[in-house]
Amino acid sequence: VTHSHVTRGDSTGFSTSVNPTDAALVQRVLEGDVESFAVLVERHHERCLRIALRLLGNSEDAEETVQDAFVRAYRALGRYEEREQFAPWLTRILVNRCRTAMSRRVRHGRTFVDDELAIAAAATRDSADGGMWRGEVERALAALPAEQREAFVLKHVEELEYEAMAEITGAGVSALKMRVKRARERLRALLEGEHDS
Amino acid sequence: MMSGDEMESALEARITSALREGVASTPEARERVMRAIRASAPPVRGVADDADVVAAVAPTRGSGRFWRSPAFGLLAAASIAGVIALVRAIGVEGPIPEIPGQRVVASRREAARAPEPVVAPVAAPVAAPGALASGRTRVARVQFVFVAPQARRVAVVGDFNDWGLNDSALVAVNHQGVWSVTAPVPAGVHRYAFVVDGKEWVADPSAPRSAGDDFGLPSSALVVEDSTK
Repeated sequence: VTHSHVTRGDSTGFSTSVNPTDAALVQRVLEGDVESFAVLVERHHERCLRIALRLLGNSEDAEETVQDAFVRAYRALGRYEEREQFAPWLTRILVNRCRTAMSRRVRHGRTFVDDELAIAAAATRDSADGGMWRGEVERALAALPAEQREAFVLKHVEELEYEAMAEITGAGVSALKMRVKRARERLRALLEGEHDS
Repeated sequence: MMSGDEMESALEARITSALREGVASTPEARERVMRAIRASAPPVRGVADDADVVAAVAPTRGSGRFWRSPAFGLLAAASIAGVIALVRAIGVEGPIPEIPGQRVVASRREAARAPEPVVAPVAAPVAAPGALASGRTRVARVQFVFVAPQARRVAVVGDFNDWGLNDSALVAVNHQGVWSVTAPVPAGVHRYAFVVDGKEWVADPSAPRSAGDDFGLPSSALVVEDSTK
């Protein structure tokens, strides 16, 4: 079944899907059409993967965490009264799963995992300069405290509004603004030399 | 020549651009997700049973902003009404030994202030079959108690019962407004919540809040240590 759709941005920074809407797809899934969930996966997988990869720094962990988030979302699908905004709800689940994955790492003595293979692969795909630069940026991002990394990714990579970020992370808007500010300062300090060269 | 602000802006643009690129969703990865979905239990529609959970936060139509559902108001009202929750862990042997390191009773002070009929079922010793062996994982029997005289139904959901999915919610028994249920919980750190009347998700008001709330809903932290160590 082919589903056509158009996306447009809304004031939260999330894309709002139409034809069929996310809400309509959720309705179909609840009526027993499991394959309609594939359209939701198609629409949101890459965005989720990007968030998870930037938060976890490891492509294998990111893919596993995204899959876990989708499964949890699917199983909890019938528990919401309102379905107009699937994206922020899914993102909230995903961010929570990323936090769980990170805390599991801490318990096992691992912290942010710098995915050298992914960086190397990206470097070979891109121009040499572009790949090296991305590797530097990923390493700098990995050096941030988890809360700052999360806030920075949601604000500047996903371009979400602070109110949407607050709903997703459970943190206050002012705290999020401070985290983003500190993350920007730290990234600038870490990358200024690389940028100049 | 670029000003300082322009240089900062150019640098930040390069940073965000690098982080937005280089991530590609593949058909194989999406198919792996769908295989896991197809193998999963189907979602349960509606809020008909105790296991069902309603979102604490839901979006408004069209505005693109969020609103807080009436659940928050009811939660606040429940707190004012003196809702307390107690968690009691029962160790290996003896009359309700406390498991070291665990917050055994959520609030003894609150329990002591509560009216006598409310406290009685909580304070009474509960049959303690002891730690149960479950493979290599030790399991403690944990009694969850929730005082909610106005509630019609109360259930406990947590990561130890898959958040009540697949009809695994623990339905509490009502003792004059004191709801209690005992369940085996493996040693470890857990998250849990009470579901009132099949729709209100309530974190234990006197327990530490869990750091990462699944589904964006509040939950409380529970530590069950292996009392055999």
